[in-house]
Amino acid sequence: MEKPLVEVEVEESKTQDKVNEEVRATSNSMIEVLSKSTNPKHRNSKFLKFLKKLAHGAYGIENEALVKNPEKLEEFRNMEGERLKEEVVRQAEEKKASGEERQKMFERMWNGEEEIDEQLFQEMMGQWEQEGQDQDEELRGQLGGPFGSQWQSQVPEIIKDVIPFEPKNTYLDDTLTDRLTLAKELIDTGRAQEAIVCLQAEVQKNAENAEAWRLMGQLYQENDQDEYAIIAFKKAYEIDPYDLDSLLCLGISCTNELEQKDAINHLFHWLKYHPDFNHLVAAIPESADNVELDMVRAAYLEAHALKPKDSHVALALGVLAFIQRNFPDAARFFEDGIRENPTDHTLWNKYGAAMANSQNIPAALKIYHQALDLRPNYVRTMANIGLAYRSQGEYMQSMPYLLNALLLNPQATHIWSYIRSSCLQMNRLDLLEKVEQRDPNLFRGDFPQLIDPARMPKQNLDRLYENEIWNK
Amino acid sequence: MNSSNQQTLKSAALFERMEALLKNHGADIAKKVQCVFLFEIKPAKNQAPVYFTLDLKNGEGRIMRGKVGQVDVTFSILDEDMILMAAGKLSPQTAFTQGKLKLKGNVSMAMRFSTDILPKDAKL
Repeated sequence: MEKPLVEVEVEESKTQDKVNEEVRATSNSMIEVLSKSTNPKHRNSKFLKFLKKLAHGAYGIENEALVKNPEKLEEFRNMEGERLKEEVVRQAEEKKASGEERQKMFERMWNGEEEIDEQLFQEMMGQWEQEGQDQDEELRGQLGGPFGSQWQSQVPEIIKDVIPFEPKNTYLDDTLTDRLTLAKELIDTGRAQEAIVCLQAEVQKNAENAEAWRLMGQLYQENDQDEYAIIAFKKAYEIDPYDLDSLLCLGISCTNELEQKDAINHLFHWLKYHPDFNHLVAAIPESADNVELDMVRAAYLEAHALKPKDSHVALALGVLAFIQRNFPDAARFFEDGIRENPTDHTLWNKYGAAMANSQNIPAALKIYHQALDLRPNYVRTMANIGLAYRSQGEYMQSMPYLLNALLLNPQATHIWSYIRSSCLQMNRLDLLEKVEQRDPNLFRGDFPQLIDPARMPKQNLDRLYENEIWNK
Repeated sequence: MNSSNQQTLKSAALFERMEALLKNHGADIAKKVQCVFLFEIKPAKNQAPVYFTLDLKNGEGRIMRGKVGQVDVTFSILDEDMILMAAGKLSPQTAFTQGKLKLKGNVSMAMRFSTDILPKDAKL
């Protein structure tokens, strides 16, 4: 049940065409780099020729084996002949060669044209990998390591507009009556992934259960999956437009996804539908598509003055400051929220995030650990701790936290890119091989700190009042 | 330099946060990158740019406000696009092909820049 839910479908739909499309795209960008090289060795390398054939479709890759397309190959040879003539002219001019020498040069290049067989193919694939570590000054900068790789390939846009539901959901069983209560019990016993699946069953049976959608959204948010959280919160909000909690949560997730206008708009509506505060935004027109952050912020400050002990108002003010990237202010508001609601792990995580973004990593780490004390399986905080270490170049320390986040939530696949990057920065190619296999368990030998998701510690309140926040 | 510009510049904190990274890991990065980047960041179109110099060539590397010393590559980009790029929501290549990121100087050196070294924001 705790296996990745998304990956399967994606893999199956990735057709052969798509693979070859990717091969062609990658080949094309490498060809671009190599053909522009000032070194004739690069311009005419076997490797470049191989790439060109791939890009042209003369060869394709099917089931990881090489296949030939004779028509395309012939077409390619004719084109290549033209290019070779130009290349000869270019080199001849560089070397000031005579007419006869030019003819010989051309023949040599033309005859150098060879069929690609399986052995040569393997050789070339090996070279593909090796180009990345080429010591050649010019190529190294363009193809090497983490640097330059971003310029070669377009990052595929992954659109996550539907929550992938668990296909074989045992919670759909009709003998189950109260899935919502069951989900809450699962959360309390630290089984958040299981709770998500249970809530998926509930909304399949009762699509109008706003609370189930909202709870699912909160779990996705804590699981470091804001895209799905936004979908779930929007469902809850559609069913119940006055659901204040969903509006506040939408404000948070949209901020994380850098959808600031949406975030401000949701926070505006939170005030608008709040019986205690709606008079504060009466002057802001309802129809406004783009509510000004300053106006919303001013209204929240009034709300804060009216009810200084309302931790939701403090939270919203913190989020607004976060949007403005005024992280010290955000930290102060989250602190206010924690004073009123000290056992809310999500407030501690937000407080830590504000501290980390305002360059105070040691304080942030301490605060994040408070959040983990309260919620030991809090995936978002684990990922945040990983990012905090990474932000000061402590890649080794970042690894166990990032891997633990993935052990708890294998669906948070974006975390693999941080791990990959950490391995590259550390020059740990041995670990990089394991990264490709996408199984955090493979790292258990390297990092004894890795957890067992089935055996998570219980909530620990011992250190709750040790934080400096209580001395202020 | 205009100080009010710097206050409203959203990406300023990103550059400032790089100090911690360079302190611990800068020498390693500089050895690989060997390039000085200048970032010309406009808070909005038609507004005066703010400059940050990212030296990934010398010693442990340095991040400095303003244009400092000999620069190999200049990146011109809008503040909001810089934030998207740092967050991994806009790849340098896409930004470049869409005209959101402009390059001046040695183009092959520009390719040595990776958004990997920009700090990622912690999430709420």
